[in-house]
Amino acid sequence: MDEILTGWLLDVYREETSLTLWLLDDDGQRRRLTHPFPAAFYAAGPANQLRALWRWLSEQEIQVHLSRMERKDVFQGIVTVLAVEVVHAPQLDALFRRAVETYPDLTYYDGDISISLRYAARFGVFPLARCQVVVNAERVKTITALNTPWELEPAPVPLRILSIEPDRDPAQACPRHLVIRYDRIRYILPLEPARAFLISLRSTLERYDPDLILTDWGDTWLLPCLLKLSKEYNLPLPLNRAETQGVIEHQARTYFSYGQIVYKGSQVQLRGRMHIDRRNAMMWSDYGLEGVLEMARVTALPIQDAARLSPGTGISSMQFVTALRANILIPWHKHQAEQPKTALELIHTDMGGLVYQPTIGLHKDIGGIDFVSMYPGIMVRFNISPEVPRSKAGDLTPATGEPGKVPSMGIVPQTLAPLLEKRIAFKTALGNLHPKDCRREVYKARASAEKWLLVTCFGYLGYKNARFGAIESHEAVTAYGREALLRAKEAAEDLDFSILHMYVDGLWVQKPGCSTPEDFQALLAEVSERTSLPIALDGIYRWVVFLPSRVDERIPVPNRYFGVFQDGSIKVRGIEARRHDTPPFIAETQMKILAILAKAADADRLPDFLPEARQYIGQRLDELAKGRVPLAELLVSQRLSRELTEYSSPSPAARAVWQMQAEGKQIHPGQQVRFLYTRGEPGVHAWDGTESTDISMVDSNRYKTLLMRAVGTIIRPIEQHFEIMPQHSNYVLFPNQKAGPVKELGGQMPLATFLDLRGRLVQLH
Amino acid sequence: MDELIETHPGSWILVAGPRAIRATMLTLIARLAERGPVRVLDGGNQFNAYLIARQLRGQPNLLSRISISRMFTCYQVLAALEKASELPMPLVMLDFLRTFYDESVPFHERRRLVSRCIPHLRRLSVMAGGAVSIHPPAVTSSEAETLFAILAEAAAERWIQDPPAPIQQPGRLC
Repeated sequence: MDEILTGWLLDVYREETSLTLWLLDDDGQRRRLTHPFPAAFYAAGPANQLRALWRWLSEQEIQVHLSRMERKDVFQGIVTVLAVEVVHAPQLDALFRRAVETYPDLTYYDGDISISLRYAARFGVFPLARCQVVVNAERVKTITALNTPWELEPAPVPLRILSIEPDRDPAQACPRHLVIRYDRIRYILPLEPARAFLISLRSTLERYDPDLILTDWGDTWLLPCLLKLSKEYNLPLPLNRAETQGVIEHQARTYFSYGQIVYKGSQVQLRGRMHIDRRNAMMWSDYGLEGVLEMARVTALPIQDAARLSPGTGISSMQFVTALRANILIPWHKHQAEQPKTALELIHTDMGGLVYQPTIGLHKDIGGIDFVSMYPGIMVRFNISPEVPRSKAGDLTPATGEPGKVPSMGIVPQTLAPLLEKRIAFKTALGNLHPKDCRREVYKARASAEKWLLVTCFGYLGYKNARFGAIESHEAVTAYGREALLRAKEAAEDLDFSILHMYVDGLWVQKPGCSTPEDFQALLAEVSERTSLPIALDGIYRWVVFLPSRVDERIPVPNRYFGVFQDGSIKVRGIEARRHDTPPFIAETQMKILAILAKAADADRLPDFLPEARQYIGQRLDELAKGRVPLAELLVSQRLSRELTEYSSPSPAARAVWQMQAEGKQIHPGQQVRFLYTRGEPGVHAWDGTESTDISMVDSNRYKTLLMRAVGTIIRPIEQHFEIMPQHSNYVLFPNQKAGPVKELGGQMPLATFLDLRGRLVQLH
Repeated sequence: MDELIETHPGSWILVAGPRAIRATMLTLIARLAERGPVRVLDGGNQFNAYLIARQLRGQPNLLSRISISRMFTCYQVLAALEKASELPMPLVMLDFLRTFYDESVPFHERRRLVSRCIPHLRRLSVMAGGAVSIHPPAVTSSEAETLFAILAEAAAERWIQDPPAPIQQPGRLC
């Protein structure tokens, strides 16, 4: 007999021949359902090879329906393909692999799309979607989504969350107990004796039956350790809710991403429950669980994947779902190279974002205005997508393509539009919420998850493995961006504003007498009118300091500044406190100095607060000299950027790794290495090694140098502005030059430059 | 070396060496552009129009003689070669093997793709000759050596510059 269920879709994954769904129904039951589901891949190529593939497929054991049809390839238009519909979707992967091995010269489409994305595209569902499901004997007959991923406030899902964390970092020392938390319960579970520990944990898992297990170091230490113990003591642990499947383990790996080497630790995923390791989750410190769930909702990636995969994979998944719904072929490998162009054309097109160098020094009453999500906004507003022909450069009109040949909106903007709309809605809502409104944190986390997707979507257009990427589209986005920024500059100058700095999507402007948000409204309206892109006031700075190059203080550096808004909040970019490798003690000192200076009601009162700042600096130097700084506050954290054998001159991080290797610990390229600077040879102490150290070994002179450099970044420009003699003679900003007032040096014309795709500064001709 | 490399109609030469030979290849492109149109396919994001413009010393119009196309995957390299038609201009292929070092593509597949590229290198060099540069991967492997051997075997001429001596790993420092 049919049963109608409503509830939240928790997870979708494949089993032998069918799909398994986990539904949390309105009665609080966790229902394991199955859904038979066909899926297709496609092949294109010479007719004789397609015929051979057809014959070969007909002879395979896996049940398929074969047909010839025409489908749309984004890069080539309509193509004739052999459609291979696999009756049981979970069998598609194996058949596809064999087909590729047997007929490698054909062009394949839709072959490697995960089953959860196919399901999302077919039925309009997504993780945590409210669904109505008609079932018969736990077998799904129909499933209907009752909401969309674009709702700002979906109905809260009553997830049962169990948190498990060891008492210490397993990389440093062997943990002694676990801290277990769920609902309002918190208790400590000793790891020894192991049998008692396992029995107790099993009891908790059975009793509470969590949907989500949140751990610290669960991927890399805890779950592998639990599985091993469980086997050793022959005491099964119900980590999975689904008894028919084992725990899924993925090995650690190192890979290149956006020019950086990245290490991804091993992963352990569960079936029927979900496992997220906070230490191995992407952007956890930025947006936490709320952001992970939002990422899963909008990308349709299963929650355990959404927690671990990059925003680039998220964007890619969204594009796949859009393509599947629109019957657009998803190339297995992108074959399209860049269209040939002349070297002169390359110089004109491959320029990146526009940068207008800042005017060095201290400035007051500055308006910071930013285009709202500029690059995604351009992609949506101007319909930038590989299949849509471009209009001429410098013309800010949407591309429409040839009538009847392309959709009104390309696949890229079609994917991004609702995401962009949702992010803007969150930003607007956040602006209207009371500061103490409990929804603020949730909205911020969700908006942050969306921000990362939107930030990534532009780079992804030029990414080599992006199926719907094209370097020409990537270049078009920056061309529109440069044009929009130039128009904004012209608008500002027409309204008598001075431009102090421009950086890709933001401008810093100043006009005597303009110091309230209302004073900037006319400018915002004018820019929006001239560019047809939304622009907003980031804030009005009481004062802001644009910093020079460390090498030559006559040269300005883009996007390196600090300032204080009218509400007292601080904004910093490009200084020590923002760097990941700055020891916390130094970053904290720099930010505290800024907090002291932020007390000044206006820029002219800054000298009044310098004595307090200097006193604080003296205090911090004293703490350092007397060895009163906790060692953890002095830790430097750097990423190992290559194999040890590839270092021509070993960096401090490499020396720390050698120490760890000598102790038998393995560190791979892409992994973070924590160390202290110490006196003598080798000059560093690996924090995660087994040998202990004490404060007497710390190279306090080196830390003092780093501290004074960070202090100098903040204090020196202010002293220079007010022509105050430096109190600390050992600022190490410009070791080869004498200090001089910025005013004497700052008269040069700002240079307009471009940041090209490799991040080089290229002067505007 | 810069002055010695010449392209000859009907064949292509292999220029192998450390990344520093990039300058040699850019000089070659500039020199070829002074004589007429040249086609550049770039497999390793090595083309630098600014450096070439500097070498062309006050003849920026010659930049219009250089046709450039960049590839970022080994599939794109093959597709670009397949798509290119024979033209009376030399072919310069920069960092040919870079995308073929990508370990996310199975080795048998990479080897197959390299082999399929070779007839096209020959075809596109018929009218004005060609030059193909390659660099060793960051970490040497037998797979990379196999790919190199396939190319070296097919090239009419080989210019091989030895890489700098490998760096000795320091002993234990603590």
